[in-house]
Amino acid sequence: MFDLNGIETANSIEEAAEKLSCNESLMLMAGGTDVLVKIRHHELEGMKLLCIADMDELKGIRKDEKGVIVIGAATCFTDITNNEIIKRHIPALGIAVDDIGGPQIRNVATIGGNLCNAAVSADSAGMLLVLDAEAELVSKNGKRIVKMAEFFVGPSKTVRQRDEILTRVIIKKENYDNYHAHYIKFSQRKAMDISILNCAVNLKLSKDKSIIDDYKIALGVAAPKPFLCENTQKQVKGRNVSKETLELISKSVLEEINPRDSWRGSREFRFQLAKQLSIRATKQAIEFAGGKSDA
Amino acid sequence: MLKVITLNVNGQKQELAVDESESLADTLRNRLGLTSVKKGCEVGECGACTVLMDGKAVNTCIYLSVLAQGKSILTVEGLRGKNGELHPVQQAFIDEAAVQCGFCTPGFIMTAVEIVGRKKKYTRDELRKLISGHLCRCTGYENILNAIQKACDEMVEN
Repeated sequence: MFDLNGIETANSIEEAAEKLSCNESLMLMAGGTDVLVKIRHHELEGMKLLCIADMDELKGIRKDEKGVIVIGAATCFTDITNNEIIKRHIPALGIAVDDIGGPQIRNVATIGGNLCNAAVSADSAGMLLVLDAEAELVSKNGKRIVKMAEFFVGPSKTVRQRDEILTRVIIKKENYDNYHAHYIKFSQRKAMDISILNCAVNLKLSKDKSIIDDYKIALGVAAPKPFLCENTQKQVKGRNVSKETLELISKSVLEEINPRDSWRGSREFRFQLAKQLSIRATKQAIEFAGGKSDA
Repeated sequence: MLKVITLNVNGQKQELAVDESESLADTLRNRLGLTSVKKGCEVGECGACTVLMDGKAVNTCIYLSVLAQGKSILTVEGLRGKNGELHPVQQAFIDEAAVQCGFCTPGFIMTAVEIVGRKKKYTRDELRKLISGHLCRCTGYENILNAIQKACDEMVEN
């Protein structure tokens, strides 16, 4: 038995928003693979839940005529990984979310839940940050769009208010078309584990593959929230593909991170990981883009 | 508070009164006597409580029963053939001695039923990833992998 004070469902976003606004003790839950575990661990008690995982409106992945890819917040990770649109246009995202938990978790856990749970290690966060994704938040009072870079506030904290529902994750064509990405999760086990550190890179090379025209890098478990290393990005943009640039990246990210000691890994170890993973993820993304990373 | 749900379990329609705070693992075990659904870690890490929900492997220990309204559930009890014969996955587990203490076995078998049902050949590494949501404390993974590989190969060949 879970220590719960009841559970409700809703048939539409509108109905869910209405319920949230009327009942201040109501808390949103999607797949429940984080919420129910927290209840088991007595981190949450006596909650009244509103489950939105089974709502068709919140499921599925679509691409419109402008190439905007929209992922319903209640889409489970298995469905993201197996989706043809994702496989074709943003394969690194499908591969990144395939690192989460194990198959049974990925069959239930949702991308919206992963983002709103806002673990510093959240595996979907890094890729969505480097894709400049946007989150659509809907409440009874209307909706707003929040950039992923502004979505996370701190450990387990986002800008989402209690009465807001994360409904869709939006990825624009200009942020994935001609870009190549790679995500590395570093953990003790390959499955059923949480990152000690993770790194996502998304970049665009010039036609002759010699210049990094655009560069995005996000780190997880390297600060109190998943974040973009903006200073590094600025420095790398426009540089040539070279050993020097890779070295610059690995040095620069160290100035932007502030990891902590935990039983999974020390602060010092996380510095070492950031240095190595930033190079490895960048190299791989360069290779995917058709460039030569050992140039 | 009790709520009435209807769902299909092992091919039979069930109407059940369940507590709102009850896990699907508890409902299947205590209300329907389906004790193949094991309670191990109860936080979705060990996979012992795995069943197929609408054909997909799910951890029932972190799934609320009231949310299973309208779903189709398959447990090991539902694998039995008309004349009591074993499912090919079960037979493969026996043939390959893929069982030691047996606690993790029903969960592994349900995940294997989903994998084998896809009628695809898998490499060892792919299979390792596909069963990564299960823990076997007797460390019998090799034989389990042999069994699933065998069942997959047989499914493709037939």
